[in-house]
Amino acid sequence: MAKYWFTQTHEYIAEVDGEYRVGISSFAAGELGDITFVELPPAGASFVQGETMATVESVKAVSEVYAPVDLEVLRVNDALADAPETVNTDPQGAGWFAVVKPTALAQLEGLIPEAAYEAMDKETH
Amino acid sequence: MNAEPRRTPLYDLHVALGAKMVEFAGYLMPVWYPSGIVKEHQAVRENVGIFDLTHMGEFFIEGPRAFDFVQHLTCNDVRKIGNGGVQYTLFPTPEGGVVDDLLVYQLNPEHYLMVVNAANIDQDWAWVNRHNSFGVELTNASYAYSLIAVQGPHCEEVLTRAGFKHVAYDHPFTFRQVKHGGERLFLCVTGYTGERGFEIIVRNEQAPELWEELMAAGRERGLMPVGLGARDTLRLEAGMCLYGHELNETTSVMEANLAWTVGWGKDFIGKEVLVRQQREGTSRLLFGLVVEKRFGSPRPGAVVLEGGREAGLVTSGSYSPTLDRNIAFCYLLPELCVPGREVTVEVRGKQVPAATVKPPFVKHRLFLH
Repeated sequence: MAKYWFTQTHEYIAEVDGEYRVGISSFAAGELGDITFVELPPAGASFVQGETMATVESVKAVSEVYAPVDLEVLRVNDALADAPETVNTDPQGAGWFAVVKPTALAQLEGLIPEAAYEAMDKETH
Repeated sequence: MNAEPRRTPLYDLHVALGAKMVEFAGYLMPVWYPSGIVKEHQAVRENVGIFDLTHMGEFFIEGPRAFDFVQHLTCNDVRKIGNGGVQYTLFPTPEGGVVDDLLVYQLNPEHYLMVVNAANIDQDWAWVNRHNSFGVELTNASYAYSLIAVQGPHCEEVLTRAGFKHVAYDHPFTFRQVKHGGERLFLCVTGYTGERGFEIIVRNEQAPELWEELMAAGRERGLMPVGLGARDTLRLEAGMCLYGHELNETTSVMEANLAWTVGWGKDFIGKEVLVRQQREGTSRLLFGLVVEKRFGSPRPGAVVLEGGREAGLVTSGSYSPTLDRNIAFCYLLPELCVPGREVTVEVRGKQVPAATVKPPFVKHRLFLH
Protein backbone atom coordinates (compact mmCIF):
# COMPACT_ATOMS: atom_id res chain seq x y z
CA MET A 1 0.00 0.00 0.00
CA ALA A 2 1.51 3.29 -1.12
CA LYS A 3 1.65 6.16 1.31
CA TYR A 4 1.41 9.70 -0.04
CA TRP A 5 2.45 13.10 1.29
CA PHE A 6 1.57 16.31 -0.57
CA THR A 7 2.86 19.87 -0.76
CA GLN A 8 0.92 23.15 -0.86
CA THR A 9 2.06 23.39 -4.48
CA HIS A 10 0.51 20.00 -5.32
CA GLU A 11 3.54 17.75 -5.70
CA TYR A 12 3.49 14.42 -3.97
CA ILE A 13 6.10 12.08 -2.60
CA ALA A 14 4.93 8.50 -2.22
CA GLU A 15 6.48 5.55 -0.46
CA VAL A 16 5.88 2.59 -2.77
CA ASP A 17 7.52 -0.79 -2.28
CA GLY A 18 10.29 0.68 -0.20
CA GLU A 19 11.16 3.47 -2.64
CA TYR A 20 10.11 7.11 -2.82
CA ARG A 21 8.42 8.48 -5.94
CA VAL A 22 7.78 12.11 -6.74
CA GLY A 23 5.04 13.39 -9.03
CA ILE A 24 2.15 15.83 -9.23
CA SER A 25 -1.24 15.29 -7.64
CA SER A 26 -4.40 14.36 -9.50
CA PHE A 27 -5.68 17.82 -8.67
CA ALA A 28 -2.62 19.47 -10.24
CA ALA A 29 -2.83 17.30 -13.35
CA GLY A 30 -6.49 18.25 -13.72
CA GLU A 31 -5.71 21.93 -13.33
CA LEU A 32 -2.97 21.84 -15.97
CA GLY A 33 -5.14 20.17 -18.60
CA ASP A 34 -3.66 18.10 -21.42
CA ILE A 35 0.01 17.60 -20.67
CA THR A 36 2.23 17.59 -23.75
CA PHE A 37 5.74 17.64 -22.37
CA VAL A 38 7.61 16.80 -19.18
CA GLU A 39 11.21 17.83 -18.59
CA LEU A 40 12.85 15.61 -15.99
CA PRO A 41 16.14 16.06 -14.13
CA PRO A 42 19.11 13.76 -14.74
CA ALA A 43 19.67 10.85 -12.38
CA GLY A 44 22.08 11.85 -9.66
CA ALA A 45 20.87 15.43 -9.45
CA SER A 46 20.19 16.82 -5.97
CA PHE A 47 17.59 19.38 -5.01
CA VAL A 48 16.70 21.14 -1.81
CA GLN A 49 13.08 21.35 -0.70
CA GLY A 50 11.19 23.87 -2.83
CA GLU A 51 13.74 23.95 -5.65
CA THR A 52 12.52 23.41 -9.24
CA MET A 53 13.27 19.83 -10.20
CA ALA A 54 11.07 19.36 -13.30
CA THR A 55 8.87 21.28 -15.71
CA VAL A 56 5.46 20.28 -17.00
CA GLU A 57 3.98 21.75 -20.12
CA SER A 58 0.33 21.50 -20.98
CA VAL A 59 -1.35 22.92 -24.05
CA LYS A 60 -2.05 26.13 -22.17
CA ALA A 61 0.53 26.43 -19.46
CA VAL A 62 4.03 25.75 -18.23
CA SER A 63 4.46 24.71 -14.62
CA GLU A 64 7.43 24.16 -12.42
CA VAL A 65 7.55 21.09 -10.22
CA TYR A 66 9.26 21.70 -6.90
CA ALA A 67 11.15 19.18 -4.84
CA PRO A 68 8.81 18.23 -1.98
CA VAL A 69 11.78 17.52 0.32
CA ASP A 70 15.56 17.63 0.03
CA LEU A 71 16.32 14.77 -2.29
CA GLU A 72 18.61 13.06 -4.75
CA VAL A 73 17.20 11.72 -8.02
CA LEU A 74 17.86 7.99 -8.40
CA ARG A 75 16.08 7.47 -11.72
CA VAL A 76 13.35 9.15 -13.76
CA ASN A 77 10.26 7.89 -15.56
CA ASP A 78 11.57 7.77 -19.13
CA ALA A 79 8.18 6.60 -20.40
CA LEU A 80 6.92 10.17 -19.98
CA ALA A 81 9.09 11.34 -22.89
CA ASP A 82 6.88 9.49 -25.37
CA ALA A 83 3.69 9.47 -23.35
CA PRO A 84 3.47 12.68 -21.31
CA GLU A 85 -0.33 12.22 -21.25
CA THR A 86 0.22 9.47 -18.65
CA VAL A 87 0.52 12.31 -16.15
CA ASN A 88 -3.12 13.15 -16.93
CA THR A 89 -4.44 9.61 -16.98
CA ASP A 90 -2.62 8.28 -13.91
CA PRO A 91 -0.79 11.10 -12.13
CA GLN A 92 -0.39 9.35 -8.80
CA GLY A 93 0.47 5.99 -10.39
CA ALA A 94 2.18 5.38 -13.75
CA GLY A 95 2.60 9.14 -14.22
CA TRP A 96 5.29 9.45 -11.52
CA PHE A 97 8.27 11.66 -12.39
CA ALA A 98 11.23 10.33 -10.45
CA VAL A 99 12.35 7.81 -7.88
CA VAL A 100 14.29 9.74 -5.28
CA LYS A 101 16.24 9.35 -2.11
CA PRO A 102 15.02 11.86 0.49
CA THR A 103 18.08 13.24 2.23
CA ALA A 104 16.15 14.75 5.16
CA LEU A 105 13.38 12.28 5.94
CA ALA A 106 12.11 14.38 8.85
CA GLN A 107 10.81 16.88 6.28
CA LEU A 108 8.03 14.44 5.42
CA GLU A 109 6.37 15.34 8.69
CA GLY A 110 6.00 18.91 7.48
CA LEU A 111 4.06 17.81 4.38
CA ILE A 112 0.31 17.29 4.07
CA PRO A 113 -0.87 13.73 4.70
CA GLU A 114 -3.13 12.19 2.05
CA ALA A 115 -6.43 12.45 3.96
CA ALA A 116 -5.78 16.09 4.81
CA TYR A 117 -4.80 16.86 1.22
CA GLU A 118 -7.95 15.27 -0.14
CA ALA A 119 -10.02 17.34 2.28
CA MET A 120 -8.17 20.57 1.56
CA ASP A 121 -9.94 23.37 -0.29
CA LYS A 122 -7.50 23.60 -3.20
CA GLU A 123 -9.35 26.14 -5.30
CA THR A 124 -8.65 29.06 -2.98
CA HIS A 125 -5.34 30.73 -3.58
CA MET B 1 -10.43 46.50 -12.12
CA ASN B 2 -11.67 44.44 -9.25
CA ALA B 3 -15.24 44.22 -10.44
CA GLU B 4 -16.93 40.86 -10.02
CA PRO B 5 -16.47 38.95 -13.30
CA ARG B 6 -19.54 38.72 -15.51
CA ARG B 7 -21.27 35.44 -16.18
CA THR B 8 -22.68 34.62 -19.59
CA PRO B 9 -26.26 33.29 -19.75
CA LEU B 10 -24.67 29.87 -20.35
CA TYR B 11 -22.59 29.91 -17.16
CA ASP B 12 -24.71 27.35 -15.30
CA LEU B 13 -24.68 25.02 -18.31
CA HIS B 14 -20.89 25.14 -18.48
CA VAL B 15 -20.58 24.37 -14.78
CA ALA B 16 -23.03 21.48 -15.18
CA LEU B 17 -20.85 20.14 -18.02
CA GLY B 18 -17.87 20.19 -15.65
CA ALA B 19 -16.04 23.06 -17.35
CA LYS B 20 -13.02 24.63 -15.76
CA MET B 21 -14.04 28.28 -15.57
CA VAL B 22 -11.46 31.06 -15.69
CA GLU B 23 -11.69 34.81 -15.77
CA PHE B 24 -11.07 36.17 -19.24
CA ALA B 25 -11.72 39.74 -20.33
CA GLY B 26 -13.94 40.33 -17.31
CA TYR B 27 -16.03 37.21 -17.87
CA LEU B 28 -15.98 33.79 -16.26
CA MET B 29 -15.49 31.59 -19.31
CA PRO B 30 -14.95 27.86 -19.87
CA VAL B 31 -11.28 27.24 -20.69
CA TRP B 32 -11.88 23.52 -21.15
CA TYR B 33 -14.39 20.79 -20.34
CA PRO B 34 -13.50 17.44 -18.76
CA SER B 35 -12.42 15.85 -22.05
CA GLY B 36 -9.61 18.39 -22.36
CA ILE B 37 -8.24 20.81 -24.94
CA VAL B 38 -6.81 18.18 -27.31
CA LYS B 39 -10.06 16.23 -27.67
CA GLU B 40 -12.07 19.42 -28.04
CA HIS B 41 -9.64 20.63 -30.68
CA GLN B 42 -9.88 17.35 -32.58
CA ALA B 43 -13.69 17.40 -32.38
CA VAL B 44 -13.71 20.69 -34.29
CA ARG B 45 -11.23 19.47 -36.91
CA GLU B 46 -12.91 16.09 -37.40
CA ASN B 47 -16.57 16.42 -36.33
CA VAL B 48 -18.05 19.53 -34.80
CA GLY B 49 -17.75 21.66 -31.67
CA ILE B 50 -19.85 24.31 -29.95
CA PHE B 51 -18.43 27.44 -28.30
CA ASP B 52 -19.80 30.10 -25.98
CA LEU B 53 -18.30 33.35 -27.26
CA THR B 54 -20.71 35.64 -25.47
CA HIS B 55 -17.83 37.68 -24.12
CA MET B 56 -17.31 39.18 -27.59
CA GLY B 57 -18.66 42.73 -27.94
CA GLU B 58 -21.43 43.91 -30.27
CA PHE B 59 -21.87 47.50 -31.42
CA PHE B 60 -24.68 48.66 -33.70
CA ILE B 61 -24.12 51.68 -35.94
CA GLU B 62 -27.12 53.36 -37.46
CA GLY B 63 -27.74 56.52 -39.44
CA PRO B 64 -27.61 58.07 -42.89
CA ARG B 65 -23.81 58.30 -42.67
CA ALA B 66 -23.17 54.88 -41.13
CA PHE B 67 -21.31 53.76 -44.27
CA ASP B 68 -18.99 56.80 -44.14
CA PHE B 69 -18.37 56.19 -40.45
CA VAL B 70 -17.35 52.55 -41.00
CA GLN B 71 -15.17 53.50 -43.97
CA HIS B 72 -13.38 56.15 -41.89
CA LEU B 73 -12.67 53.94 -38.86
CA THR B 74 -11.76 50.62 -40.48
CA CYS B 75 -9.00 49.80 -42.95
CA ASN B 76 -10.91 47.31 -45.10
CA ASP B 77 -13.23 48.66 -47.79
CA VAL B 78 -16.80 47.91 -46.87
CA ARG B 79 -17.73 48.39 -50.54
CA LYS B 80 -16.34 44.87 -51.05
CA ILE B 81 -19.40 43.46 -49.28
CA GLY B 82 -23.10 44.01 -49.81
CA ASN B 83 -26.10 43.78 -47.53
CA GLY B 84 -25.78 40.52 -45.60
CA GLY B 85 -22.02 40.54 -46.01
CA VAL B 86 -19.41 40.20 -43.26
CA GLN B 87 -15.88 41.57 -43.42
CA TYR B 88 -12.74 41.00 -41.33
CA THR B 89 -11.20 44.38 -40.71
CA LEU B 90 -9.27 46.46 -38.17
CA PHE B 91 -9.42 49.81 -36.43
CA PRO B 92 -5.99 51.26 -37.21
CA THR B 93 -4.55 54.09 -35.12
CA PRO B 94 -3.31 57.24 -36.91
CA GLU B 95 0.19 55.75 -36.46
CA GLY B 96 -0.79 52.53 -38.27
CA GLY B 97 -1.09 50.49 -35.06
CA VAL B 98 -4.16 48.47 -34.17
CA VAL B 99 -6.93 49.43 -31.74
CA ASP B 100 -8.69 46.14 -32.44
CA ASP B 101 -9.52 43.61 -35.12
CA LEU B 102 -13.19 42.96 -35.71
CA LEU B 103 -15.93 41.76 -38.01
CA VAL B 104 -18.25 44.27 -39.69
CA TYR B 105 -21.73 43.11 -40.72
CA GLN B 106 -23.65 45.20 -43.23
CA LEU B 107 -27.40 45.10 -42.62
CA ASN B 108 -27.67 47.95 -45.10
CA PRO B 109 -25.48 50.99 -45.81
CA GLU B 110 -27.19 52.86 -42.99
CA HIS B 111 -27.01 50.03 -40.47
CA TYR B 112 -23.99 47.98 -39.40
CA LEU B 113 -23.04 45.59 -36.64
CA MET B 114 -19.47 45.30 -35.36
CA VAL B 115 -18.28 42.31 -33.35
CA VAL B 116 -15.18 43.25 -31.37
CA ASN B 117 -12.81 41.51 -28.96
CA ALA B 118 -14.07 41.05 -25.42
CA ALA B 119 -10.94 42.50 -23.85
CA ASN B 120 -11.32 45.66 -25.94
CA ILE B 121 -15.00 46.48 -25.53
CA ASP B 122 -14.37 49.55 -23.37
CA GLN B 123 -11.46 50.87 -25.43
CA ASP B 124 -13.32 50.25 -28.73
CA TRP B 125 -16.47 51.88 -27.41
CA ALA B 126 -14.45 54.97 -26.46
CA TRP B 127 -12.72 54.87 -29.88
CA VAL B 128 -15.92 54.72 -31.97
CA ASN B 129 -17.52 57.45 -29.89
CA ARG B 130 -14.47 59.70 -30.12
CA HIS B 131 -14.51 59.43 -33.93
CA ASN B 132 -18.22 59.84 -34.42
CA SER B 133 -18.22 63.07 -36.40
CA PHE B 134 -20.78 61.47 -38.68
CA GLY B 135 -23.77 61.80 -36.40
CA VAL B 136 -24.42 58.06 -36.34
CA GLU B 137 -26.30 56.41 -33.52
CA LEU B 138 -24.03 54.01 -31.63
CA THR B 139 -25.40 51.25 -29.43
CA ASN B 140 -23.23 49.04 -27.24
CA ALA B 141 -25.27 45.82 -27.23
CA SER B 142 -22.42 43.72 -25.83
CA TYR B 143 -24.26 42.85 -22.64
CA ALA B 144 -27.60 42.12 -24.35
CA TYR B 145 -26.37 39.58 -26.90
CA SER B 146 -24.81 36.15 -26.65
CA LEU B 147 -22.68 34.50 -29.32
CA ILE B 148 -22.69 30.75 -29.89
CA ALA B 149 -20.37 29.24 -32.51
CA VAL B 150 -20.81 25.82 -34.11
CA GLN B 151 -17.62 24.90 -35.97
CA GLY B 152 -16.42 21.82 -37.79
CA PRO B 153 -17.22 19.63 -40.80
CA HIS B 154 -20.65 18.61 -39.48
CA CYS B 155 -21.81 22.09 -38.57
CA GLU B 156 -24.56 22.27 -41.21
CA GLU B 157 -26.13 19.03 -40.08
CA VAL B 158 -26.19 20.14 -36.46
CA LEU B 159 -27.93 23.41 -37.30
CA THR B 160 -30.41 21.67 -39.60
CA ARG B 161 -31.26 19.13 -36.91
CA ALA B 162 -31.74 21.97 -34.47
CA GLY B 163 -34.47 23.31 -36.75
CA PHE B 164 -32.65 25.93 -38.81
CA LYS B 165 -33.84 26.11 -42.42
CA HIS B 166 -31.72 26.29 -45.59
CA VAL B 167 -28.47 25.89 -43.73
CA ALA B 168 -25.57 25.87 -46.17
CA TYR B 169 -21.97 26.84 -45.99
CA ASP B 170 -22.01 28.03 -49.61
CA HIS B 171 -21.22 31.64 -48.82
CA PRO B 172 -18.68 32.18 -46.06
CA PHE B 173 -18.63 35.70 -44.61
CA THR B 174 -22.35 36.28 -45.00
CA PHE B 175 -25.17 36.39 -42.48
CA ARG B 176 -28.94 36.26 -42.37
CA GLN B 177 -31.42 37.41 -39.78
CA VAL B 178 -33.66 34.41 -39.23
CA LYS B 179 -36.48 33.50 -36.88
CA HIS B 180 -35.80 30.59 -34.61
CA GLY B 181 -38.21 29.59 -31.86
CA GLY B 182 -40.20 32.70 -32.70
CA GLU B 183 -37.27 34.98 -31.98
CA ARG B 184 -35.02 36.79 -34.41
CA LEU B 185 -31.32 36.07 -34.41
CA PHE B 186 -28.26 36.55 -36.61
CA LEU B 187 -27.10 33.38 -38.34
CA CYS B 188 -23.57 34.10 -39.55
CA VAL B 189 -21.39 31.98 -41.82
CA THR B 190 -18.24 32.91 -39.94
CA GLY B 191 -15.71 31.49 -37.52
CA TYR B 192 -12.13 31.60 -36.31
CA THR B 193 -11.02 27.99 -36.50
CA GLY B 194 -10.11 27.36 -40.15
CA GLU B 195 -13.05 24.95 -40.40
CA ARG B 196 -16.53 25.35 -41.83
CA GLY B 197 -18.72 26.88 -39.21
CA PHE B 198 -21.45 29.21 -38.10
CA GLU B 199 -21.76 31.84 -35.43
CA ILE B 200 -25.14 32.71 -33.99
CA ILE B 201 -25.76 36.05 -32.32
CA VAL B 202 -28.83 35.87 -30.09
CA ARG B 203 -30.46 37.88 -27.34
CA ASN B 204 -29.22 36.69 -23.94
CA GLU B 205 -32.67 35.39 -22.96
CA GLN B 206 -32.65 33.01 -25.92
CA ALA B 207 -29.12 31.71 -25.49
CA PRO B 208 -29.51 28.84 -22.98
CA GLU B 209 -32.36 27.22 -24.90
CA LEU B 210 -30.51 27.54 -28.20
CA TRP B 211 -27.34 26.04 -26.66
CA GLU B 212 -29.29 23.05 -25.37
CA GLU B 213 -31.05 22.56 -28.72
CA LEU B 214 -27.72 22.57 -30.53
CA MET B 215 -26.11 20.23 -27.99
CA ALA B 216 -28.99 17.77 -28.40
CA ALA B 217 -28.96 18.11 -32.20
CA GLY B 218 -25.24 17.36 -32.33
CA ARG B 219 -25.12 14.43 -29.97
CA GLU B 220 -25.08 11.79 -32.72
CA ARG B 221 -22.44 13.70 -34.60
CA GLY B 222 -20.04 13.81 -31.68
CA LEU B 223 -20.61 17.51 -31.00
CA MET B 224 -18.42 18.59 -28.09
CA PRO B 225 -18.48 21.81 -26.11
CA VAL B 226 -15.19 23.60 -26.72
CA GLY B 227 -13.53 26.05 -24.35
CA LEU B 228 -11.27 29.03 -24.89
CA GLY B 229 -8.18 26.80 -24.66
CA ALA B 230 -8.98 24.91 -27.85
CA ARG B 231 -10.32 28.08 -29.45
CA ASP B 232 -6.79 29.43 -29.08
CA THR B 233 -5.03 26.34 -30.46
CA LEU B 234 -7.50 26.20 -33.38
CA ARG B 235 -7.01 29.84 -34.35
CA LEU B 236 -3.24 29.55 -33.96
CA GLU B 237 -3.06 26.50 -36.25
CA ALA B 238 -5.24 28.41 -38.72
CA GLY B 239 -2.73 31.29 -38.63
CA MET B 240 -5.23 33.81 -37.30
CA CYS B 241 -4.17 36.78 -35.20
CA LEU B 242 -5.26 37.27 -31.62
CA TYR B 243 -5.45 40.80 -30.29
CA GLY B 244 -3.05 41.30 -27.39
CA HIS B 245 -0.65 38.79 -28.94
CA GLU B 246 -0.07 39.38 -32.65
CA LEU B 247 -1.89 42.72 -32.65
CA ASN B 248 -1.72 45.76 -30.41
CA GLU B 249 -1.30 49.51 -30.71
CA THR B 250 2.41 49.11 -31.53
CA THR B 251 2.05 46.46 -34.26
CA SER B 252 1.12 47.72 -37.67
CA VAL B 253 -1.44 46.23 -40.00
CA MET B 254 1.35 45.75 -42.55
CA GLU B 255 3.71 44.03 -40.11
CA ALA B 256 0.91 41.60 -39.23
CA ASN B 257 0.65 40.60 -42.91
CA LEU B 258 -2.86 41.97 -43.04
CA ALA B 259 -2.35 44.09 -46.18
CA TRP B 260 -5.18 42.06 -47.70
CA THR B 261 -7.55 43.81 -45.29
CA VAL B 262 -6.53 47.27 -46.49
CA GLY B 263 -8.81 49.13 -48.87
CA TRP B 264 -6.20 51.24 -50.67
CA GLY B 265 -8.86 53.02 -52.70
CA LYS B 266 -10.48 54.84 -49.78
CA ASP B 267 -9.47 57.13 -46.93
CA PHE B 268 -9.36 55.94 -43.34
CA ILE B 269 -7.57 56.64 -40.06
CA GLY B 270 -3.94 55.52 -40.33
CA LYS B 271 -3.86 55.20 -44.12
CA GLU B 272 -0.85 57.48 -44.63
CA VAL B 273 1.39 55.34 -42.46
CA LEU B 274 0.20 52.11 -44.07
CA VAL B 275 0.80 53.50 -47.57
CA ARG B 276 4.33 54.47 -46.55
CA GLN B 277 4.96 51.03 -45.02
CA GLN B 278 3.65 49.35 -48.15
CA ARG B 279 6.15 51.33 -50.21
CA GLU B 280 9.15 51.13 -47.87
CA GLY B 281 8.55 47.85 -46.10
CA THR B 282 8.70 47.26 -42.36
CA SER B 283 11.48 46.14 -40.05
CA ARG B 284 9.65 42.98 -39.02
CA LEU B 285 6.87 40.72 -40.26
CA LEU B 286 4.61 38.19 -38.64
CA PHE B 287 5.68 34.65 -39.53
CA GLY B 288 5.54 31.12 -38.17
CA LEU B 289 7.88 28.72 -36.38
CA VAL B 290 7.70 24.98 -35.91
CA VAL B 291 9.52 23.33 -33.01
CA GLU B 292 9.79 19.58 -32.59
CA LYS B 293 7.64 18.11 -29.85
CA ARG B 294 10.52 17.02 -27.64
CA PHE B 295 11.78 20.58 -27.18
CA GLY B 296 8.55 21.96 -25.73
CA SER B 297 6.58 24.98 -26.82
CA PRO B 298 7.85 28.53 -27.28
CA ARG B 299 5.69 31.00 -25.38
CA PRO B 300 4.93 34.71 -25.91
CA GLY B 301 8.02 36.84 -25.38
CA ALA B 302 10.48 34.10 -26.35
CA VAL B 303 13.45 35.44 -28.30
CA VAL B 304 14.27 34.05 -31.76
CA LEU B 305 17.94 33.95 -32.79
CA GLU B 306 19.50 33.39 -36.19
CA GLY B 307 23.24 32.77 -36.38
CA GLY B 308 23.51 34.18 -32.86
CA ARG B 309 21.84 37.52 -33.66
CA GLU B 310 18.43 38.52 -32.37
CA ALA B 311 15.96 37.88 -35.16
CA GLY B 312 12.49 38.02 -33.63
CA LEU B 313 10.04 37.68 -30.79
CA VAL B 314 7.31 35.08 -30.24
CA THR B 315 3.75 36.41 -29.83
CA SER B 316 1.80 33.13 -29.45
CA GLY B 317 2.99 29.58 -29.07
CA SER B 318 1.42 26.25 -28.30
CA TYR B 319 1.43 22.57 -28.86
CA SER B 320 -0.47 21.88 -32.08
CA PRO B 321 -2.81 18.91 -31.65
CA THR B 322 -3.18 18.51 -35.43
CA LEU B 323 0.56 18.52 -36.20
CA ASP B 324 1.73 16.93 -32.93
CA ARG B 325 4.50 19.54 -32.85
CA ASN B 326 4.84 22.96 -31.30
CA ILE B 327 3.98 26.02 -33.34
CA ALA B 328 4.42 29.72 -32.78
CA PHE B 329 3.69 33.08 -34.31
CA CYS B 330 6.62 35.49 -34.18
CA TYR B 331 7.61 38.90 -35.45
CA LEU B 332 10.70 38.18 -37.50
CA LEU B 333 13.26 40.06 -39.61
CA PRO B 334 11.69 40.27 -43.09
CA GLU B 335 14.63 38.51 -44.79
CA LEU B 336 13.94 35.42 -42.65
CA CYS B 337 10.27 35.28 -43.62
CA VAL B 338 10.67 32.44 -46.07
CA PRO B 339 9.79 28.84 -45.24
CA GLY B 340 12.49 26.47 -44.08
CA ARG B 341 15.00 28.83 -42.51
CA GLU B 342 16.76 27.31 -39.51
CA VAL B 343 16.68 29.49 -36.41
CA THR B 344 16.60 28.92 -32.68
CA VAL B 345 13.97 30.01 -30.20
CA GLU B 346 13.89 30.23 -26.45
CA VAL B 347 11.92 27.52 -24.68
CA ARG B 348 12.04 27.67 -20.90
CA GLY B 349 15.28 29.63 -20.88
CA LYS B 350 17.15 27.54 -23.47
CA GLN B 351 17.56 28.10 -27.20
CA VAL B 352 16.19 25.14 -29.19
CA PRO B 353 16.10 24.50 -32.95
CA ALA B 354 13.13 25.82 -34.92
CA ALA B 355 12.21 26.13 -38.58
CA THR B 356 10.34 29.02 -40.17
CA VAL B 357 7.01 28.29 -41.84
CA LYS B 358 4.45 30.46 -43.55
CA PRO B 359 1.15 30.48 -41.63
CA PRO B 360 -1.42 29.00 -41.66
CA PHE B 361 0.17 26.03 -39.92
CA VAL B 362 -2.87 23.90 -40.78
CA LYS B 363 -4.71 24.52 -44.06
CA HIS B 364 -8.20 25.96 -43.86
CA ARG B 365 -10.90 23.58 -44.99
CA LEU B 366 -13.80 25.84 -45.72
CA PHE B 367 -15.02 23.95 -48.77
CA LEU B 368 -15.74 20.28 -49.24
CA HIS B 369 -13.72 18.52 -51.89
